[in-house]
Amino acid sequence: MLFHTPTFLVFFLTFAAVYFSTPPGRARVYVLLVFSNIFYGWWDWRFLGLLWVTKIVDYGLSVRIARTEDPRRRKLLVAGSVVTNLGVLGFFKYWNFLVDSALALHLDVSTLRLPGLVLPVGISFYVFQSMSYAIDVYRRRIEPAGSLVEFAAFVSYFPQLVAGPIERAENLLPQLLRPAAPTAARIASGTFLFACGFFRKALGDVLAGLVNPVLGDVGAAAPGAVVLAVLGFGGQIYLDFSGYSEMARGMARAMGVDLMANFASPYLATSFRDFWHRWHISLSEWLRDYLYVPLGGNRHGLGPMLRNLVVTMLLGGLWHGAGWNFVIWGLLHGLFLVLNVLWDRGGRAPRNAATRALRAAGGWLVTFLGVQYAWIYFRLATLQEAVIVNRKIVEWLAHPSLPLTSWTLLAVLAPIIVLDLAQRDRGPVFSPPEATPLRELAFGALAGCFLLLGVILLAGQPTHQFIYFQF
Amino acid sequence: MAVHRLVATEEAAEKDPVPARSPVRRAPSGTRRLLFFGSAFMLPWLLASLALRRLDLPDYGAWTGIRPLEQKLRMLSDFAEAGPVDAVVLGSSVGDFGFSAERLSEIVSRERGRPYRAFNFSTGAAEVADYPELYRLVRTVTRPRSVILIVCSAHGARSDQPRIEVPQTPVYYLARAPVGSVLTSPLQLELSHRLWSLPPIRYSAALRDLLVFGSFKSLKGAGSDVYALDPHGDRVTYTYEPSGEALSRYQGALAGLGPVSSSASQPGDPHLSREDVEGLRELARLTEADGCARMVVGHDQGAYLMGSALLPSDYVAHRREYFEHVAALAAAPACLVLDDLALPRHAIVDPIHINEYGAADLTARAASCWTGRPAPPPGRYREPDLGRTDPPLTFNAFAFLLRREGPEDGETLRLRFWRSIAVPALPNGPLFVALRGPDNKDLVRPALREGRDIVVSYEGLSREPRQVFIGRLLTEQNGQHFVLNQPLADYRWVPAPIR
Repeated sequence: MLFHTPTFLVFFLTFAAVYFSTPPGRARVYVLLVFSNIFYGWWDWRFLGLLWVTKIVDYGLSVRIARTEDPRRRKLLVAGSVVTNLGVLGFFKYWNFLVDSALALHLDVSTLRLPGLVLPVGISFYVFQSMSYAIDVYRRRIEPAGSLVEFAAFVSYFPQLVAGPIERAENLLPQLLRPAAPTAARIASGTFLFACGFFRKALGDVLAGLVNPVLGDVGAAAPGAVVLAVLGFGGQIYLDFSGYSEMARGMARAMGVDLMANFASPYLATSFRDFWHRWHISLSEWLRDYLYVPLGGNRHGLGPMLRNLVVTMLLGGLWHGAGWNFVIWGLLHGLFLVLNVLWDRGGRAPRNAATRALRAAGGWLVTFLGVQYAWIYFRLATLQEAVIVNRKIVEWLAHPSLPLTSWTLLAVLAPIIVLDLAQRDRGPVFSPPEATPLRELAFGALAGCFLLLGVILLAGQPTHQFIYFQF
Repeated sequence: MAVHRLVATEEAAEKDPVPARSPVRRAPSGTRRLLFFGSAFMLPWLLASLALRRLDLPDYGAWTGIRPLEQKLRMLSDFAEAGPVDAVVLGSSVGDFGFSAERLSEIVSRERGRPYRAFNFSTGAAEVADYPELYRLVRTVTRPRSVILIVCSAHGARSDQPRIEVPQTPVYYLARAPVGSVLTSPLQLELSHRLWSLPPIRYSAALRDLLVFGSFKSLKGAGSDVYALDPHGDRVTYTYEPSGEALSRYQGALAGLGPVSSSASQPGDPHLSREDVEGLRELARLTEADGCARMVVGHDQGAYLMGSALLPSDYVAHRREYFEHVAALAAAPACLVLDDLALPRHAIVDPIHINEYGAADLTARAASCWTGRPAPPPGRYREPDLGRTDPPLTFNAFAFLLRREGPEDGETLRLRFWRSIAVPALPNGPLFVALRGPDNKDLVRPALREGRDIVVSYEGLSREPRQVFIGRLLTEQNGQHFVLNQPLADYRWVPAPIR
């Protein structure tokens, strides 16, 4: 069930009707849980069992962690949670990848391959969310949830269940139990966020229609077309994922829950470090708190810090998918961050505004091109294809010319670029509590335009899954 | 960090509200604020809907995936708004070209002394099994009093041959279009139809093309775009089959194509595929529930309608048996008028289809099933040699046929050519119309443009009655005539000379 389909509209309206006609309190948590299960089961009801296994194990272990003071026992219990979660993730996501990798090394393990193994949708997201809860209880950052129902509602909260943001219990759980009242301001800003996300998703799908034929047969495509397709994919994945996140946040906001922002104008970042503070924020913060910092972070000098960065990005790459292309993508970003850290340490801070601006512009260009280049490995499943794309880029650099570009498409993309520019440093442009009636009219009309454009771009087109659903 | 600033919720602001600057000015209430926002939110939709109604955007037929079919559905909707719909014709291209709802309406209206209104909703490549889907689409815009099922004997396929979903067929496109997932649910179909009638959604494909490519890049012409549609949904063509050999070849191959006799000892239905049988029964159920009557009209391929005397007698017998079988499955009376029908050569478009003249003759005969009166025998016309294509460059596939009943018709010809996305615009240069009569001589006359019409005068035409002429629209370059790719939509002989 995808957010931008009529089926979801019916589902959400039904949910809202039932949810808001239920008295506030515990009963609403039950309603939320039931509808979240329907939402997830709509994709494949068989995997509901797996979702519940994760929930029951993590809830049970967390309760025990909270009850015991014995450090060894606490460590064992939290290790149990980590092993269970990573075990589930590892089996469904990486089993066949490991077998294939072993086969490539001529090891006779072909009988271990499981061709029918299906990757449950959103597994990487809910496993991380559930695991972080157990770790937070272990770290005494939070108290365990009052009941399995509350915890289950937190793990399977349908707006962010299958593609994030990966929420922390300390932020989401209290809001689920005591959501804010669905005020006019919340409904308006939620609608604006949703419409904006819907438009982003629609634009992402349009780019997918242009990019997929080229990247599906890179050998036959002209160098200029390949270069455009690589940039197009960068746009597609951003619009697709940020669109999903904004729709999720919009819905949640209207229901009285504030999910964390997952994107903050990432393509306007002026360094790779800045990029990872703006791209898939919930994942980068998760990796920072539960991987980079436990590895030692920057506490043991430059060398270990750089190593920790590379390891974190490598595992972050693998989190996205089981394939060597994701390993390369993660390693590339690790390398970019290492270079970024070394540059920052070696360089002097610019003294005047002009130098600062020039340096920021240069930083933006390098970051933008580096990020776009890395997407090649994210998008293409085989190294052979990536080699062809690299060759075509070199050919293009020798004779740069681009196929005819549609200026109208750039005009359609313009509102997103303007929004990102406006929100880069100032935060959300539409902040309802401060909104005057004039602002509400303006943003209402803007939301209407986004929805209208989104419908025009999507109506009758084949429905594209959100890219991050596959993770 | 910028991130944390972005995550700041409105709760903070709600906890620490900005004090009112003036006790007189009060913040608008929640309902009013929502009203402001909601009204502004709806405004773009409203404005877009109003603007799109005025713009002449092409309709891509994105709801059904079949642009010509959706064009007919909109025509049917307009037709139904103008009055009750007595009959809707369902069929394939054989019915699309070869049955005239307009002619049937004329005859039955005249006989009954009150308006009878039929609409042709046939569409290319439709199988009998697809008729329920066609009827469901019809029901989104009107509730006809009856349906006329045009059944072509060539549709016979045995039940032990499962139907293969072939691209280019309606069922293939419908299944992949937005309508495909809602066809069997009347409520969802109705909702979907209403949704797709909203201008921003109806024209979304055209707008998307404009937004993404700056042009109507994805709008592709279909074969049916070169044929005119009359207000009753009939596809009109005045072209003809120039190859007598092609017609003979079809007739010669008839033995292998004939429907299978019910005496055959194979399992299953003797004539139809399982899908066809189920389709006919389903159509009967659907129409029965609506109180809609049914009539099966037997039809056949163009090459076989040129005279039953040319056909093997067992084919004619089996064809009749086939139509009766189909009618029984559809629980409908059968209108069988083919046995002694002999259409002239000039009524055949190609071995499969008949043209406007063939459709008029066949429909006039079929109308007896409604009026109870036999149709008067059609007059015999003198034709030119349809196989000749000299002089070169003045003939192409758009050469058209004109009938002239006699001198009372007049000597001025008013022609209207079809305009569509698949037809090039008329050139600006001089125009001529060449007519070749039964004497096989060409009369080439300069033509004038009058609005959308082309007018040409032929003073001194033979006074002989019932003649057929081959017409071509020509232009001139370096003293030589060239034929244009312009399909004829309609023509009239008028007595008044050119002004």
